[in-house]
Amino acid sequence: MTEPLLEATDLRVTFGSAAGRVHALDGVSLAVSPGETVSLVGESGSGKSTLAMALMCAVRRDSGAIRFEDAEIGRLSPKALKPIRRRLQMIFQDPYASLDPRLTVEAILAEPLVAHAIGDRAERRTRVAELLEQVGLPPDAAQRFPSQFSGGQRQRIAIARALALRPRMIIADEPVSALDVSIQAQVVNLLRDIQAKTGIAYLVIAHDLALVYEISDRILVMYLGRIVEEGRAEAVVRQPQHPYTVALLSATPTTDPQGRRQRIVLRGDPPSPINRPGGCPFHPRCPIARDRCAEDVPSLQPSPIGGRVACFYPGELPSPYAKEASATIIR
Amino acid sequence: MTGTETVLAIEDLTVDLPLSGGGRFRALDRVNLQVRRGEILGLVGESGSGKSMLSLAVLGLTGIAGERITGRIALLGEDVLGLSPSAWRRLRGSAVGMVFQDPMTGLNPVRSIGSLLVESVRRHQRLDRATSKTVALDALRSVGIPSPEARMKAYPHQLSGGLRQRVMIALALINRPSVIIADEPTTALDATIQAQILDLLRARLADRAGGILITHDLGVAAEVCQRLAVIYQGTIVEQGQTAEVLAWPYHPYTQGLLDAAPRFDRPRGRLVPIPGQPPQPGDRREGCPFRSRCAHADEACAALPVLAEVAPDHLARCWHPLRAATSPFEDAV
Repeated sequence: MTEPLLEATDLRVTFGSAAGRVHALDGVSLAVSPGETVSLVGESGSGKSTLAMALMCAVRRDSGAIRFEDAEIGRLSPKALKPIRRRLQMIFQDPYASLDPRLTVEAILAEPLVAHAIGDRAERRTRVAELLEQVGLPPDAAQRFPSQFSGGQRQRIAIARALALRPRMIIADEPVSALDVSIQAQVVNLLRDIQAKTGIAYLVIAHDLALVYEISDRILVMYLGRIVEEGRAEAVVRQPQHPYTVALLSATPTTDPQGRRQRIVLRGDPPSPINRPGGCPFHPRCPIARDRCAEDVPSLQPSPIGGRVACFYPGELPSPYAKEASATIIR
Repeated sequence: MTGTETVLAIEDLTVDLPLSGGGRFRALDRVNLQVRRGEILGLVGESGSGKSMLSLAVLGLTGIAGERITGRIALLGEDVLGLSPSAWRRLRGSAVGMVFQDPMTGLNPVRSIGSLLVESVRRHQRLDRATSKTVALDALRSVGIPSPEARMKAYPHQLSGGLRQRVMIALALINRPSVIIADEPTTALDATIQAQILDLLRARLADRAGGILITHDLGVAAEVCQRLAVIYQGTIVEQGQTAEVLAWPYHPYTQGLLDAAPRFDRPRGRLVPIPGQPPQPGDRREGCPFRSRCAHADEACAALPVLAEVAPDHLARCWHPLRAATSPFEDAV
């Protein structure tokens, strides 16, 4: 096992609100290795975006440690964090909101270089040209404005900006969910090509489990501020251990007639993080909950499939996709 | 099961809209669709495909200055295109119900759930207040809203997204319309809530009515629709029984959508994107709208192919369909 590039231990984040304390992150630990793609999947209120912000040191943590490249970064001042940000970058969901509409693409891509005082004007121009090529945009894109590009092209610009400082890792919050399906695949493949060439690591936050399965080495499933299951992508989909993972798998709409055979539809809404249920936070919606689940909180333990799971009765529900994906696509 | 009565017939519907820089563009081009009672038709397309324009036209909600709409929309055999705004107000909420993507903007925020439902019943069914209230409670119960009495007093912002969408469905169904238009009804919802709402739509939409489910997600359409129509740049490119279209697509765009979407039952690392970008309003349309992104395109595609029957109850608009026009069962061997 290689040394993790990013490692977070026992992160806790609470927010105050009129209705009470919100436990957005309730003891989350994770690690990402160099060159690896790890995805966080969960519904709204699961804490996945808070986790991304916490890892970027952009939100106040109650406790927990964050190590990046063997250095503790969780307690650094904004100024001391600046050199870290060169190597840990972020991509956001909405390519319409994340690019300054008044700047040319060249200015957008050169901005991180200017902020970190890298190169002179000519060198920056060369780097911008390299970046455009790397993300599959034509050289003349440099002189145009974001409004002249489609959503997919804008997300390419956002990726190019994140790559400008040659980071070792990118945290991507829903990087393709605002894009059309045909364009999603283009961007997913682009991110994969960049990883193959540069060995960059990704931490992807997403709500779409099918997409997460496609792009990830490992998957972390979050529910109400906790990780409830972690494992290698193939194992999580074929042999999920947590009933919530099974519910997410069976809730994902599919064009595959086999996938629609048996499905679990959870009753009710996810509870609010303000009024977290006692015991296992999932027990009020869990199809296999027993008395114990209302009283004790299951901790994240090693799971039979080589990951971790927080459930007293792991692996009881079968995956709707238990069979290994066949290598041939029947047409 | 599906009846034979056609509740909604769209014939040669063409919508031209003005462009901001002058000129017009064609948002819908000679669209023909039929919905039978008890059936949900899925209209699948990406952004800019014209799918939402179609829903607005069927609901009489277009009214863009300079628009030009031709063709025919028949609701229960009656021509509704060109009706007056007041005639439309009588139809909407009674003969035709609607469910939109965002229940927060689809429900009046300053009105309680109960008053929204009761008002709709009183307006369209001419019932007294007490009876209307009973009807409203039944409607909330029928869409699986827990403790409906308490919810009647609630305002839209006090409900979760899933409950709001259930209220919207209750409101769409309350006057027993013959046609329901649901435009991306689950897109704003979490996965587990989406599954609940899709179950509800499947169970309730086809009760008495027929419906069109408009979505960008082939998976969502596959979950609830008996028939599918795939739309690209305002043009229907493929249409047929859902299971058959998904198993044996004839149009390269339908195949492209299937190949581009991640699936649990396929090996990882094999997404095949559709090259290029989706069409923008004002893009030139000449010949097959998909040809600039299509691997099979050649000179023939400079002319628009007709929507031709390629198998029983299966239409495709392509000069180079992906398989020979024949029985799919022979093809599958």
